[in-house]
Amino acid sequence: MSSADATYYNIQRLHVLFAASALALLGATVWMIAADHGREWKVYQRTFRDRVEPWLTAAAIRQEQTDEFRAEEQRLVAALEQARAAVPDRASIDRFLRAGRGQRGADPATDAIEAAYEKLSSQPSAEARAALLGAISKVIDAAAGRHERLERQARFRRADFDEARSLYEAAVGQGRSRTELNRLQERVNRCREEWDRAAERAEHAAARHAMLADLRDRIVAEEREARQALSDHRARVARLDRALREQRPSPGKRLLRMPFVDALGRPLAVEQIWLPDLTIDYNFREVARFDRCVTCHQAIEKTAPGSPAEPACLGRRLVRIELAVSSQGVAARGTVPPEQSLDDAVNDWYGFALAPQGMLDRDAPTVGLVRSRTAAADAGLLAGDALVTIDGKEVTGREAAARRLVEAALRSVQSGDESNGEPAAVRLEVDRGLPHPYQSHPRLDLFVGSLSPHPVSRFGCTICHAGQGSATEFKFASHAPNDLDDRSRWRSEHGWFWNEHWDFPMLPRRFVQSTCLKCHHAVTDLAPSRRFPDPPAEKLLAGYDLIRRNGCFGCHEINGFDAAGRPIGPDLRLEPAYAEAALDLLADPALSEEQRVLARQVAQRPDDGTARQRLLDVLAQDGASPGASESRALRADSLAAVELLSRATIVPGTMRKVGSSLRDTAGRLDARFLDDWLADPTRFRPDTTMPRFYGMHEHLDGKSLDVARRFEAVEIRAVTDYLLAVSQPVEPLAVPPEVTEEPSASRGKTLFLTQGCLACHKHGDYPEGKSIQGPNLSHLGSKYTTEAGRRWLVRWIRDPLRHSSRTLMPSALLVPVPLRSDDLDEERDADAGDSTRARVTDPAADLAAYLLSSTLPGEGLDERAPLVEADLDELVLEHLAQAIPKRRARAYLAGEWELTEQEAQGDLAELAGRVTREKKLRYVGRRTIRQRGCFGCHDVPGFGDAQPIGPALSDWGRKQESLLAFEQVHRLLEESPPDEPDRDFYLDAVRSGRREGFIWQKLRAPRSFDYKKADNKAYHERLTMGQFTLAPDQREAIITFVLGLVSAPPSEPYVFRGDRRGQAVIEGRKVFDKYGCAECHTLEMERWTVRYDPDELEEPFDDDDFAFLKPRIDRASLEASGRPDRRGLLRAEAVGMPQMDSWGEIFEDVDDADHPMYYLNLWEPLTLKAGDAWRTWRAGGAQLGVSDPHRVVAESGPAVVAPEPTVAQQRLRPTYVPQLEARRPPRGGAFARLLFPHVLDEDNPAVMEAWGWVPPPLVNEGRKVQPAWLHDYLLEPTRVRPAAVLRMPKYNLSPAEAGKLVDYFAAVDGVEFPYTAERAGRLAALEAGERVRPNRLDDALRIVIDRTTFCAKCHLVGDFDPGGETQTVLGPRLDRVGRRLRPEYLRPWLANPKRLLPYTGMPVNFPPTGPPLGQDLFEGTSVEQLDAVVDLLLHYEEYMLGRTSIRALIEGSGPPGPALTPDEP
Amino acid sequence: MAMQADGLEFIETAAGPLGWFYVAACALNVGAAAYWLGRRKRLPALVWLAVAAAFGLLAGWAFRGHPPAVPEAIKSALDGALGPVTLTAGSLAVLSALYLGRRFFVRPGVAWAGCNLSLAFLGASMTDPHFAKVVTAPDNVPIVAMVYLLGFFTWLGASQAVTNDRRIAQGRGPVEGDYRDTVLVWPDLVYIELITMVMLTALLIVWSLVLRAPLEQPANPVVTPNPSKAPWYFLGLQEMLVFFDASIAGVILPLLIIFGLMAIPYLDFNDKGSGYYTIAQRRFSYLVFQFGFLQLWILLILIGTFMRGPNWNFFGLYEYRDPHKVLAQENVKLSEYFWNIGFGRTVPHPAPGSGTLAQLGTIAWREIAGIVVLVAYFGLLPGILGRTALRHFRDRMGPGRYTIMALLLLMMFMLPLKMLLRWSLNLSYLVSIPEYSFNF
Repeated sequence: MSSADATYYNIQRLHVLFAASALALLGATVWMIAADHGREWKVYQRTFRDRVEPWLTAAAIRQEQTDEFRAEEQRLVAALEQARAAVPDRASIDRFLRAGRGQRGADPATDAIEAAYEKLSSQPSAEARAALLGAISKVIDAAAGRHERLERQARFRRADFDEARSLYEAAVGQGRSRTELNRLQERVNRCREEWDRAAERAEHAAARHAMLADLRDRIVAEEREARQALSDHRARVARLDRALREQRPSPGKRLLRMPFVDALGRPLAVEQIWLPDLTIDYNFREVARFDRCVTCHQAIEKTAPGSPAEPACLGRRLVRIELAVSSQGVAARGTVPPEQSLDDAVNDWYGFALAPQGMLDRDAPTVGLVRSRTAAADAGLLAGDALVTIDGKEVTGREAAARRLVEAALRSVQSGDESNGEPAAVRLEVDRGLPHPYQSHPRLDLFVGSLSPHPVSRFGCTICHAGQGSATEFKFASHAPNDLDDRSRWRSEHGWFWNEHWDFPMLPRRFVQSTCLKCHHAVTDLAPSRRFPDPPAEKLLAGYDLIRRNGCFGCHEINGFDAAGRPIGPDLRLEPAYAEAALDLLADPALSEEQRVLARQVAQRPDDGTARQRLLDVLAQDGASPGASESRALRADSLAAVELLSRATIVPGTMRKVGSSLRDTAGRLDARFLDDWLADPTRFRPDTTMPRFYGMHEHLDGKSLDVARRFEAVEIRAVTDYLLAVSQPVEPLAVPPEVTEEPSASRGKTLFLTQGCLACHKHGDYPEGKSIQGPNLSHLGSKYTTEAGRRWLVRWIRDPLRHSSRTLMPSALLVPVPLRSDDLDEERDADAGDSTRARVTDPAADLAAYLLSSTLPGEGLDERAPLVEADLDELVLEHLAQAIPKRRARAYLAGEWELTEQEAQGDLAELAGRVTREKKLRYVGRRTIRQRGCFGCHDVPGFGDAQPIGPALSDWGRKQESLLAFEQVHRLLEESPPDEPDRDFYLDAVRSGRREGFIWQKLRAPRSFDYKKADNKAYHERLTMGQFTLAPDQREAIITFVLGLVSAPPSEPYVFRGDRRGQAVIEGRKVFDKYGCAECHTLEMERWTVRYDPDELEEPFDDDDFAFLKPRIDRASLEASGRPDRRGLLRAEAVGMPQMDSWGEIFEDVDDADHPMYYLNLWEPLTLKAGDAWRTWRAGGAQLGVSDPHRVVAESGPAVVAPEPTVAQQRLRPTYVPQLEARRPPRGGAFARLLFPHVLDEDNPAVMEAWGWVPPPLVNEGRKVQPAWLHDYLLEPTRVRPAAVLRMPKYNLSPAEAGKLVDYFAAVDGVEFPYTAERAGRLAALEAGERVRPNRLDDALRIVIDRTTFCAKCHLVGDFDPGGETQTVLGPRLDRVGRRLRPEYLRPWLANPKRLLPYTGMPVNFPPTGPPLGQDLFEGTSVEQLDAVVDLLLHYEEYMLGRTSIRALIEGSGPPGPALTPDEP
Repeated sequence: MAMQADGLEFIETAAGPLGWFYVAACALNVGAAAYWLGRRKRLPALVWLAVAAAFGLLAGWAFRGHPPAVPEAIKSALDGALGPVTLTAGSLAVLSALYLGRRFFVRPGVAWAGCNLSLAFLGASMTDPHFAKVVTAPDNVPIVAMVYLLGFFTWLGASQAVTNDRRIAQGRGPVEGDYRDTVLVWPDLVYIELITMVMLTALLIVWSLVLRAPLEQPANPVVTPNPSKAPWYFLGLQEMLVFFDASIAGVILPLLIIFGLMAIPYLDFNDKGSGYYTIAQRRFSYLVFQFGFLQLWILLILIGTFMRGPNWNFFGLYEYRDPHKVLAQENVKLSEYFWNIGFGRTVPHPAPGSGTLAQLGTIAWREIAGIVVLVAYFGLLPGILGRTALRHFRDRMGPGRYTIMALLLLMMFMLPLKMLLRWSLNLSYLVSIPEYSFNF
């Protein structure tokens, strides 16, 4: 034991240890501070705020301070200087002196003014003027002082008065004596007088003061205005200067950003958006959303200066630019200028200047300023572009870049001269934009921006992008790479990884649109609109269309509503199978006639609930309800149908099955075709939407392959036999008796085009037809090989609804027609003179003959393969063993016993009784249809109540990835990788087990997930999904849509509803898309964005018009929008239709610079700035020439022989034409444009009029027609325009759908809806008009029925037919106009038809200027005539009723016939 | 299918850190060489220098992107061999060998060589993405550290004990006897505490900077992680859940562990080995402790950490943690063995609606085999052992203390026995009374 003061440890060593540990702690602390200072977001914030933002502001300031700006500023400064030294005119000074001179004669103040004025006028200077103004101010000050003093006095007197009065009133109240009251009253009076006097004096002083001030203001008015003009001019720059000062950090701020200090908070801080209503759903708990994305993405909301939605910081990309060098400027110098003027040379020759330093990379040669109307501006160079190469050589450093630019200019001018005429050009590659996170959102018009529909403060970021918004580090925010390059770059730069701690990682850029579905359940509201002409969600819409067309929802339910009927996403569900159940019922012979009628009604209109209820009631009376113990002889499957009919859902589905009805298969198809079609539909029709179910064996081998081959052959045959066996007969439609001609394929071919078949169907003979609304109709001759099939086709064309109650195919209303004369010409022979009246053709038969004339190339279809009985037995056993014990099943197949009643339920019903081969086949067929889900797309008898076979997709987008059964498919993909553009991305997704990988492979090769599994599965356990023919981009569109089905709608206010109008548009669009209305009709005209130089634009030809036709233009908003771009051009958007030539091609001219040039027939008035004024080009008649400098006229190829411009065009052809910048195609109307060249009559010079013979554009339709008429017309289309080559077919629309369309038209045109025709007021006006001018309507009728000049020349009226041969002279019936057109449309229409419908052939009958026509018929001005005709047409029926005598009819004095015929005058 | 990691790409990302790992191992060996050199032992110093050079070479390879890897054959062999049975039996064998050969293994050179081997194994295994994913998961890094710390302290204790045992055998008394029994609070105690505090603070800061806490989402009751693992210190308990019912493994056994630990001072009658390390004088205590701690607690934690994957399935060290992996786990209760397999009869079931007593009777009849086994195990074995193997203990402790100790001991051995029954006979429960939520 040692002494107590000796230490146990060596203290020296402990000291060393302590020092070391202290150092370690210090090191750790420094590390910690450094790590905090270097946190990703702090670096980003510092970089953005110190470099990017001030740079951009400085560039904006530079850009503002152009030569024009400086010149204007100098002018304004000079003007101000001048104004500040200006000598006021003598008169105003005199006026002031007169007013200012006091009452006391000589006044030193006014004398001083005199003196100062003398001095100023003898020697004008700013000082002298200041002295004068000072003297004036003195006088005004004196007046002001007097004014104030007198006013105060008046207030005192008033107070005295108030006091006196109150004393008096108090005395009255206290009942004082009369004398005292009198005394007090006396005082009141005195005070009152004094107050009045004082007030008068004060008023006078105030007036004098005001007058003097006013006079002074007039004297200095000029100076004040000059000062104001200067500060207005400087306002923008001043604002930017202020911004720049704020952005440049002060020393205090700099201190706060230093290491360690910056850990304490501002100004570098996490910025977050708190969204308490836009919660994240954690099941059972809604958590408020905190989006901190803007912490790093600082520029996300930044717009370009002076623009509401253009992003300030573009996405980074390499841009190639060709700078044209003006040879004069460069040649004047000839040599490389001395060092100091390199910058000037660049500035002079190119028109841009390099910034002192770059943005992120300080040394990068960066464009700092682009001057207007220079080569750089024309080439589209932007401030902020960093030069990468000049003429193909890399460049670094500012000085080197400037020298290289100058050299390149010299070189190119020299070589340019040699290669005669070629404009000298320097090629640049510039690095444009900034990398993330310094970019602005590319669609600020739609997102983030405060003016957009999704401002960031209300929506945040993660509601659309997903990902972990609360993260402040790249790797934790769940960013998702769009490709493998991104991925590896992120890995190395940010340590990125797949964050498994967040269920919803950010969506890769390619799928970003899918989240739109969270709120936009209707999907169609995402289509481009007037407000957002750039498509907001193109890929998503494409996916939606593909799902709609391919009928994915037949197998995979996409339910848009939760159990309580609340919307949760897009709703794509099959409609309830009422029609199918009704058709199933109809097959039952036990049905009574009444029930039969009702069932047919339900089949036609399954959405009509009353018919269905009546049918159910009638059936229930017969005891045929599903629960009834004994039903009146109805079959078992009929009972199932009745049960189906009695079901109801809260929100029923609306989609029809996409495939054809298989109810009458036997009546049209033969077994050979069906076998072939089932085996591989693409063999007959490569572009079919029917998926392939058989022969997909790539993933199989060995035993599984053998089983697949054997069983699939049996299945195909069994399904064919089943379908043929269960077919229901359809009552044949008799051939119309009046038909005399044999069907002709050549007539049919013409009809195929002119009857509009091409609007929906493709055909090999017409490659220009591109519509995919209906199936491709090529080679039908190989499909319908039997006589029955051929006859069926004719009947189908004549009335498709008869055969398939839910088909989308309309009835083209084909009735037998007389043989046309030009057809006769072809076959003119000896008996041509024979009565042509008697020769009647059947268009339906002609069309069928044409369709059947086209057959598959080659041998045609193979014979049916022989059935292998053993395989059939094996397959039956496999199915049977699922229902009954296997041993028993074997015995049954061996014929040892029969299935009992109880056992023969469901599909087993096919096997009731003793086994036969037919029964086995039918059983297998039925089982196959059930397993493969054929009923999802087709109406198969007996499968009305079958449930979709696939998993529901309503919330597939949030399905847990660990639950996806990828199995071993990645191995298969590694062994045989697909050859596709984006395969690496998807292969990675498959390998990492992500949703997009799963669905990608599922769509590519749906069965491949059975790879190496099929051997160990029973045949019926294998995957069943069919393979669709989809291109890779289509697949991606579908994936985008399905990933958006997350069934997680945000809180109510965020779900997009739209106002009533918006909703009407959305609903209407759905109907449009369903029936393909836009295939024929143009819904929106072409929109051309043009740039033009206001100084060179010629004023339009101004034609006279009625005052009420003048377009109303909001001048103020136009002024505000008119800010010229760098090239000095203004922007405008023109709406219309390009002028066509007489071959139906777009008429193409050449402008002065040899650029192609087009003419646009305006459909909407266009207002452009010409010179200093705004001028309006009217719709209709006016044509706008537009050149397309971006397109070069083809040098080789057939020369286009442009027809000579017509007189109108020559007159209108401007010397300067605007340039086309962007061209938005019209929406819809592809078929109308396709048909157009075919209806052109070569003799007719008015090419435009031919537009009236094809399906009309429906622009302005809502403004034009009355809803009630349109509704009826849609359901029962009548012939409106006799001139049109085809009439509107009759669609199987429900009244509700027709109503939606009607509302749509009203909503898009912004007219009132639902519409109520206001008749009473109109009738009152009518009477008033009649009082002013008796017989007004009688005279108007004389105009209407005039055949020489007016209406009856072309129009049908009542039973009158003008009978013209040419199509122009066949106008719509005038007696129905009152019910068809809206009154507010009819008047402008009659006044100038072309203003509303530029192509119309209708002339101006009531000239706005000059003498009115038809004075012998109706004496009066044009407006009087016009109004009278309008009134007559609108009240045609009332008017005519007034002319019919019922008494005459009753008393038998007049003939009961056409009393309506008006008397001839 | 979670991340099916891409091997080649992984090696590229792992190569850099591995290089630094080998550099550290090299530095450690240079330090070891210096240590031996300081003690004037040339040969070991040279050996460790050579080892350091070898690690340096490995570091070089790693930095160039080609770190040495465990050959695939060995990986699959290891994965195939390392089942729960081999792990339990093997670790028992290894621990026994270490115990028996403790005089050899505690020699610093031998221990250091073992440490080097483990480092080399760890380094070579880290090239495997699946191994690395488990080992480098921020949650699991402390477990790896724990393995080394545990190894070090076990070695330290054993080494001191071996020295003391040798000295006691020579009659010199333990090393600790040479220490003085008082030291100064300052500086001997407070100063080193201060130094420790500073060092630990620095270590914690560096740790938090290097292994950043992941940002996870708020708990989602619908989506549970797969596998759902307890905190590392409870993984042993969680492992027990595989073999016992929740009430047993989660409540009774932990309570018994605590009671057992509390009871140790009252059960211990050996007054030797107080204040110094020894094995020879406390052989029984040492063995029981090492078995209970290393075999039944630490090993289970390691299994839970490194070998248990999705669905609590057993995975090899290098195996991909496939959530779709399916293992045949058809387990049978003892009553089913007894009635159905043994007698070919259906297992008796209490008739529905019968009285409680009748039901209890049926249940007892059904579980008769298990009850007999349990009664024999807990009722007869203590007595038998007390007359045979543990006679000495019974004599020293008296029947009461002895019975408690014997029951606790039997309870402890229950766990490996139950595991053995599960693996060999697919036996799920000896006594299973789901009617009363009791399964044993």
